[in-house]
Amino acid sequence: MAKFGVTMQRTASTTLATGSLTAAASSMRRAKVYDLMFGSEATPADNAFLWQVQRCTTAGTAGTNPTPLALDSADSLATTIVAGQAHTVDPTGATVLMSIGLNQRATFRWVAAPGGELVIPATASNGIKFETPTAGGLVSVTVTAHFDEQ
Amino acid sequence: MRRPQGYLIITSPYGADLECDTFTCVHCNTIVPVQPAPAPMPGGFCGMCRSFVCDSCADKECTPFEKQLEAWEAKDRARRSMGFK
Repeated sequence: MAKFGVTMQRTASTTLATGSLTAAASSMRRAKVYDLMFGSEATPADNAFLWQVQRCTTAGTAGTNPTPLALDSADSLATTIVAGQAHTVDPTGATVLMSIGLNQRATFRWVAAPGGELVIPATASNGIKFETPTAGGLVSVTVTAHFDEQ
Repeated sequence: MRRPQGYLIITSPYGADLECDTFTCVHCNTIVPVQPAPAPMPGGFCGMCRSFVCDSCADKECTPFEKQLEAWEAKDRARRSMGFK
């Protein structure tokens, strides 16, 4: 079980995901997301954002695929989990796992205790996406996620 | 909350930070923030799983999330074995 961290960025969109973590199309394994951070690195302003974490059943089309970094440099990613950011085709959403209203100036962090993680199934292209269905300003936003590859 | 399954922090330039415990629904994996007492506890409790469930799962029958994961993965394996991707 190796732990990884990845940061996903985009200019906020109300229709397209900021980022996603999905199982690869082959050699899939489960992963558990245990740490999430949302925020904006844009010039501070009072804009309202609704952040959502949603389960997704397709990977969509990511603008780029940031490489998850191993928290322990001795570990290497077996490409079982694919990170995507700045999507041009949105991953197909399903259950909303978390919905948080935030001011653009605010930063959000959620950390799971053992057993409380969000689980990505070992099912091709299924996973979790992060999006801002309400964005008061179309500014740069960032999600950082830590996950444990099973 | 006794034995929370997570912790949530919102850091804002206005006022104090907001911090609260969370639990993760044992039926759908949703994260539920729990406000400190005397606020009512959200969701419900599944006697079969001996764990908390979210509002939308509170009135439904017990379907542990682990079972759902296994079903999704089995369905995917079956599709792949038949040549679908």
